[in-house]
Amino acid sequence: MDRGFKVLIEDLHFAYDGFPVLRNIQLRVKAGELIGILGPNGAGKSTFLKILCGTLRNYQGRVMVDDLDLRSLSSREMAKKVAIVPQDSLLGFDFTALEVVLMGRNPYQRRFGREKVDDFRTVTESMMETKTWDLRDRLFTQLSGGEKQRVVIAQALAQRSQILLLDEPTSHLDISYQIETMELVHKKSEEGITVIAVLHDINLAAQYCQKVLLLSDGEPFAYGKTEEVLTREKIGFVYGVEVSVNRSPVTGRVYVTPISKRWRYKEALSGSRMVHLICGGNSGGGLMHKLREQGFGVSAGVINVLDSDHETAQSLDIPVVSEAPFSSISESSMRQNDQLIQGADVIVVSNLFFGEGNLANLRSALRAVEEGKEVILLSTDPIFSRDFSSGKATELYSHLMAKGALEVRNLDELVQKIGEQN
Amino acid sequence: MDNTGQELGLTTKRTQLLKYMTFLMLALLLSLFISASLGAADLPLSTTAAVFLSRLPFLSRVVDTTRVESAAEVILLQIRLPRIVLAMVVGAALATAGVIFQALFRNPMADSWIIGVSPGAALGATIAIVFKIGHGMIGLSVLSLFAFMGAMGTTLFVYRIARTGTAVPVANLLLSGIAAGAFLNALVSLLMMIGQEDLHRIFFWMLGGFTGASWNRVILALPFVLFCVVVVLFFSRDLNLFLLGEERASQLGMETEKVKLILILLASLVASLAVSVSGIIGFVGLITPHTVRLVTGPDHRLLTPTSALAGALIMLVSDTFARLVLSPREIPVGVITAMIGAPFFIYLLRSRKRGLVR
Repeated sequence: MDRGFKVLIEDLHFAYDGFPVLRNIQLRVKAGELIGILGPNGAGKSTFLKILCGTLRNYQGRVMVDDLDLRSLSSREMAKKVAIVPQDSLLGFDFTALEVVLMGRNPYQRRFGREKVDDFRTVTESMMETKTWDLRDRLFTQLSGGEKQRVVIAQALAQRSQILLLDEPTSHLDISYQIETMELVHKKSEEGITVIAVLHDINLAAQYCQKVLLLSDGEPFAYGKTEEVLTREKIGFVYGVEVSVNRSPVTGRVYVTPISKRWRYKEALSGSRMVHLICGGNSGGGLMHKLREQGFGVSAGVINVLDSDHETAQSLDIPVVSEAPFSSISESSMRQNDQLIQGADVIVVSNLFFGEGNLANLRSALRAVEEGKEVILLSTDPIFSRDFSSGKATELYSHLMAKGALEVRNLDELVQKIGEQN
Repeated sequence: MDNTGQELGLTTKRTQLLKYMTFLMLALLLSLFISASLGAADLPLSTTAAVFLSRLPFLSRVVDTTRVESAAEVILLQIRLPRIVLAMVVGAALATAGVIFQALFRNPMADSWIIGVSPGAALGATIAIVFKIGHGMIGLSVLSLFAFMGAMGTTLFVYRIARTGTAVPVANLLLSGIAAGAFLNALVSLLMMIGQEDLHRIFFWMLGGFTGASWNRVILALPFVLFCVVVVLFFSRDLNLFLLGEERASQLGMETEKVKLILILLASLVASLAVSVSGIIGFVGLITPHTVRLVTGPDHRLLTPTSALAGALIMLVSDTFARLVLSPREIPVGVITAMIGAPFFIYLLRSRKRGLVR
């Protein structure tokens, strides 16, 4: 039952000079899987890779590679099974890029032999795949950081191993080579090579990895399918930051947006004004960000579930009154909304479209202004152009303004007004 | 995609190596003849050539040596030639040791003194001289033996104290070597204070030179040095990998600790042999690989053999100068190598070119 895994790790513990770095790691990796290892700095990610490639051997627990105990393998055998792309390359002597890649063939070369045709073929292929073939006669020391990184990846590929470990392979690369490197790694995994990569960039992991191991302080916090591990709660807990996690409409994969700590900080200040936002149809997302950024407390409603504004509110952890998708606002939602309005200092009506379904929101605003609440209408476009309720919304707008609601034309003006009357 | 080494331009390496070796061989041969002709008794180049060539198989019947005085023959064959050969052997040995240590320490400033060879040899020799061990028996070879044991003993001791668990980190080696060296130098100074009447002898031994060269010493050193240099050639790829750092080398399949032990043993062995027959001659082991690297690049498949020959040539030329400059008095060859080597080294440091650590 334990057989057939490319990498099998049980109860792995590791300590540097008695200081525990890794604790209680369990991992089972099948051939062809692409696994991302994530975690904050100092979580033990690089140490973990160094154990897997056989560099650090004084660990406790069981590490099996191809059903063989890692410690029973010689360096040469290890180098044929596992190749690693280290974070930094220390070479300070002038070898050409080709010579550096050729060193990757070392495990296959005998002390008394020369390079064989096979070595050259492999090296050529590896350099073509990493787009370093044109650099072959350049001195390694004179290459740029990104070029060096690609040459070292070629060196690792030249080892022709079934397991490929990468320690932040994209750290020195610009976005185009980041993508290219990850595409290459992904292709390798499709060819059956098992890839385990320490990644800094959560979104690269989200986009390419099938599974993610999330390390926190040397311990596995979560391991599983990428979308199950990369959730707002887990990332927030491990990294100590607030993020919003959404699904990319383009790739269908999750993506993670960090939310500035500044916003949360300002929100925490007591005495900041509470703004209730009446929005929908993508008219409020930007407003939510902007108001948060300015340090205001924000609530929102009533918004239909599946509306992008609803998604934004949830990802920003903004209290929101929601309504079933594509339904009119119900009595109960309206009452909940009125409660949020009661708790707010300012009510903002965004530049949204009105139909019969959401007129209730405007009536709530009208009640608020009648009770003496401050109401600001953001009308980037005039209300009649957004009125699909045969004039009812336009009429409500004129009532609102007659009762003292303020109309502004753009976001800056809005923010200024909210701040002014503080 | 069917690139062979030829298309990749790697066979040019072999051609390059052939070129360097041919050039150095010719230079060595020429220097040998010139050096043998020069000295207190100047001999014409033709005499030198005739005597040497007559000793080669097949040529002995062709070359006519009947007109050469027997005194000249003795000077050439029993005094100058062993000295020349010994200088070449010692030069090659020191350069080879330098190549190995520079790769192991990943530093073009490393040399065999770094791991305690020189201070160890100095202590061994000083003990032999001060306590008159073997004095009057087989004489100088006992001194050589003590120097050799001192050098090897120190190296092994340094290797042992640098060991942590199963690994011998290179940084530990360096620091242990420096500590051991300082301690041994202190012991040597102490012994010199005790054996004041031998001060002159100790001093001249430590300056190094080939004054007492004989075929006996050549026979003592040549086979071992030759053997070690040839073995080192088979470790060229490992030496290259060491330049990537030990960790990376092991990730690329090298049994780092095993190979490191073998290489340290080889390097200390050749360096100890050299020191035991010639005393402490500085800078050749440091400068030679360094200079050669500027021409050949860092690939040890070129660097190691080329350095060995270049070391032989540099030592031969230096010793010839040592014999001639203040003739009939001799300058210790260590003085020559240091006086040429040190400024040259500074020049290299200042003009950071190919091969220097950035």
